[in-house]
Amino acid sequence: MEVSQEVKNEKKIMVKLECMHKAFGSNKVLNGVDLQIRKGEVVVILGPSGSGKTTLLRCINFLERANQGKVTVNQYTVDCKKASNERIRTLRTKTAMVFQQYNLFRNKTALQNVMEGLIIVRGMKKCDAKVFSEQALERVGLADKFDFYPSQLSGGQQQRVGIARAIVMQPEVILLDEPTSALDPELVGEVLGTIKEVAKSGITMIIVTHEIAFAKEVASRVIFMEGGVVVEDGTPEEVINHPKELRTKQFLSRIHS
Amino acid sequence: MKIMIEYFPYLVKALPMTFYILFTSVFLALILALFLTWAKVGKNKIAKAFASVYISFMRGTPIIAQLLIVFIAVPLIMKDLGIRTNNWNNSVYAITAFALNEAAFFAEIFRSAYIALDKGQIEAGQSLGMSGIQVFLRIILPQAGANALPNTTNMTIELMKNTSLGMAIGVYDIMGKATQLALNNYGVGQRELFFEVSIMFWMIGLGFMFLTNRLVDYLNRGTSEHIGKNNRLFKRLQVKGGRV
Repeated sequence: MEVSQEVKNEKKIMVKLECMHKAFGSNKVLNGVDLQIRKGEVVVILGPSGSGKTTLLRCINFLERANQGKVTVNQYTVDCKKASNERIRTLRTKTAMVFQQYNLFRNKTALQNVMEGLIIVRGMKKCDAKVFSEQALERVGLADKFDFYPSQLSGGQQQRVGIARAIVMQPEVILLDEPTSALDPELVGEVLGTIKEVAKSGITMIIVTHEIAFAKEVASRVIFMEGGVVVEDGTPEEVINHPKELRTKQFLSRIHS
Repeated sequence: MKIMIEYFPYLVKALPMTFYILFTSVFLALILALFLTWAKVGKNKIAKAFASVYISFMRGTPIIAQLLIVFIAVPLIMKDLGIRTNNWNNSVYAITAFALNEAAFFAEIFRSAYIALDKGQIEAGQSLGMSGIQVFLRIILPQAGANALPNTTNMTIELMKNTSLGMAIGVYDIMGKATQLALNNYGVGQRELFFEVSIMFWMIGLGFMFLTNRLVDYLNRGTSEHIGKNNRLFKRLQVKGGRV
């Protein structure tokens, strides 16, 4: 009876990180991060620069290879030490990433950018991929920009294409790495609005951001990191409004002022 | 003028040799250059060192010396391997030498074209679950290819002119043919002859450049500089084939 209960709980866990360590040369960026994220959670990771939050995100889909630790996405576990390319690729198909610098394919139109993963990775037929991709672009409010190249789009529009490219793959979890940091202030709103809209659909999201107000609004859970470890972990109410740790308080007061 | 018309058929007969040497060696050089580029930008230190030495040697020695070295050394090597080279056409040596030389220059062009790429796109491809080869074929090659094309054409034109050096080992392209004709006629009309040859090289070069420019326009259709410069062409492409 107890066992089955545990299995049930285990199932709900979408992302599990165990003892993640990562160093660039002698600079230790992650010092043993353990984290469990349940299905449907929208997790915002906060922290000062150099705290390892972006590295942690990049270790989840192996854009950065952790020196030690295990990554599990939807019960598919990859050991960072002995991961084969094959296993890494399988893991990556379960995740999708939105980048700070958008990283759109510059030789492809908005629509082609979104279709690329469906056709090349999922092996979907072009006509089907097109239908799904058009839906995804409509969802992020770019129904009139299908045939535009990245260089013809504003930063906010490019980032929304990036979001469409991620959601069209129907990943288990979407990783967003400072999705608004490279944007002009007036364009931040449209991207945050899109992310909020996507979050409503119940997909699991991990977001690294500096937008505290946005974090409060969209997150179901906030994690504060510093020095490569998780310092504080709780609801937005707990972490942002009533932080317990001194470091979290200092960080938030500096950001707010 | 009359002399030029008279000589023209003879020169045209040598054109296939020029093109044969040119295209075969460029083709082989492209393949070799891809490996050299891979070695140069990759992480394997031994491959990198080898490629660096190879490229600096090829860039730092006269092509005529390389041609003669290949011409003399290859038969000796082949003899050791037990392969008879007596009935080989000398153009084989010319092609080998030109391909080896050209590959070094191509590799440098490719490397800078690769470096100029926005690498975030590679990560984006990987994050979607694309394999290394898929990222290379779908993302890197189309863009780096567009970057590299103008310089690659320049080097190809350079080689087209250098095919005349084949003369040194008895491989006669149009330049070689012209020299032969001039000698056979004791120098009569050699001014016109060499002028004519120059015009022919020039025209072929112009043809290459024209084709390259069109191709570059097409490949660069997504980049901002291009949209600013060639807005009309871009719009036409979009109407015709922009949609997937």
